[in-house]
Amino acid sequence: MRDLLLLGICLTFLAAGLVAPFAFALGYVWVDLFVPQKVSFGLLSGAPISMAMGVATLVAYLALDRRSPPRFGAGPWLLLLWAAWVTLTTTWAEVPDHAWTKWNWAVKTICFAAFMPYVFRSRVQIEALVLVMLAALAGHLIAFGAKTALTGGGYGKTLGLVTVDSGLVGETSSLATVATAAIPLILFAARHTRLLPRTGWVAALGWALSAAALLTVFGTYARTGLVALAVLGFAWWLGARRKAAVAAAVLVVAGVAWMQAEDRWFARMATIGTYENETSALGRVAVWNWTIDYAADHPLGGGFDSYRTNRFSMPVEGGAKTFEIKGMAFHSIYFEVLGEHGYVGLVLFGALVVLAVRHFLFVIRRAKGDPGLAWAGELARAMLVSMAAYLAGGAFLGIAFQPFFYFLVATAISLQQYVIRAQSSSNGGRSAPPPRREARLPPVGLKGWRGL
Amino acid sequence: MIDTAAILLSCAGLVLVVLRAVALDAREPWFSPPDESGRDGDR
Repeated sequence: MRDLLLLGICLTFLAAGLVAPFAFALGYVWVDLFVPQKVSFGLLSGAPISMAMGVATLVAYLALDRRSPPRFGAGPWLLLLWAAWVTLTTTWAEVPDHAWTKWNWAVKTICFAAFMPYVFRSRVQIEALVLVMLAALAGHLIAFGAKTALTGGGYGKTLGLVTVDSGLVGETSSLATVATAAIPLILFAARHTRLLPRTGWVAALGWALSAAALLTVFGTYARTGLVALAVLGFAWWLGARRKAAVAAAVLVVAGVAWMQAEDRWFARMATIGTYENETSALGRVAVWNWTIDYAADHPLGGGFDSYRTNRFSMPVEGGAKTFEIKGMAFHSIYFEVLGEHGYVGLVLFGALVVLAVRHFLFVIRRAKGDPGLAWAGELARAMLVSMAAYLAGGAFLGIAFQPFFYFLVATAISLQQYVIRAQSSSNGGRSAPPPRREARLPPVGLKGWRGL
Repeated sequence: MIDTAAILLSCAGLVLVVLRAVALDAREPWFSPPDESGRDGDR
């Protein structure tokens, strides 16, 4: 039954893509985030659905949908340069078999992100992209959040739809991070989108999904999730016009969580401050130090999964015991990029972050005082906060090549191109005016993350 | 049971969003006819 439902969704995307080619790309995004191959009981396991959606997107674009492409600017160039560099580092990888395996999915994600701005160009298409990202994550968040509400969750428990402890939605710390990053997008979607009716029910669903995301974060017992939540709250407050209201909202959420959390949750979180007594955290710090030394010897990186070469021991508990480290993962976006792709990789990855942030700020600035672009400004704000949470959580997780980040970067490019096109039109450029229907919309009610 | 409900909910939302987006995209074309120079303009 589950398999047939998921197969039906895949077929829906393929059918919709024949009518509107961007639906193929929506299918690719959904497959990458929902991972139906891992949710399925067998029918879709191992099926190349992602590749099918990707090829369909490319063919449909080239054959049917090459209208008004965006400028091939810095964003796509940088993404393609990043894809080329990670390919180059894979040629000298220290563990080639593992490296090429990771390259295979990572490079597809990067290249698709470079292509996405060509597919998602209008407001409807960009909003559909955001909502499909959320719908894909919603299945995991609802399942994990509901089970947390019933059982209280627990460290290392895989309560989500994916029971394999790997990947963005399977590994609990990663799920906690992406759940946090999803919250501002959920709140945006519940109030701004034109794709869903603006009713109380939709608003209630938005709040319910946000609650499920919060329950997921707490239910994983992931310290990373707490860090990401703290950054989310701070970034939200930082950009808020009504700082007192936002501070009150953050305090209320924190207070409720504090009252409901169990002792074992507090015990787990307390290890953030006493990491030297906890082997998991201690191992991370040791691997980070190892990575810095490794990068000094391999400034161009050791290729994907180069952490598998680390083997060393360190004294713990005052020298009474020895902690053996063998092939321990990087446990950080930044050290992952540094160890795998060297200083060049770190610069390129940092440039991607800077580019996305600049694009979001550009859109926020340009949207000010333009009612027709209010939705874009609010989406850019939500995405900025989302990216901050992801990058904060990612400081303790090796998720540099997970699709969520690249979808944020691609959306930044799409939004920036949309705003340039819309404003150059209304300023007497060669293009036609921006959508009149959108311009007539009342100033979008929510003040976005600023108003909460 | 919870998993099935979560999948059903998310898939229902997904289908709603995709179909609505396709319908809106078709109903409100955001490209104007080519101007005299032959360029497309987006609306």
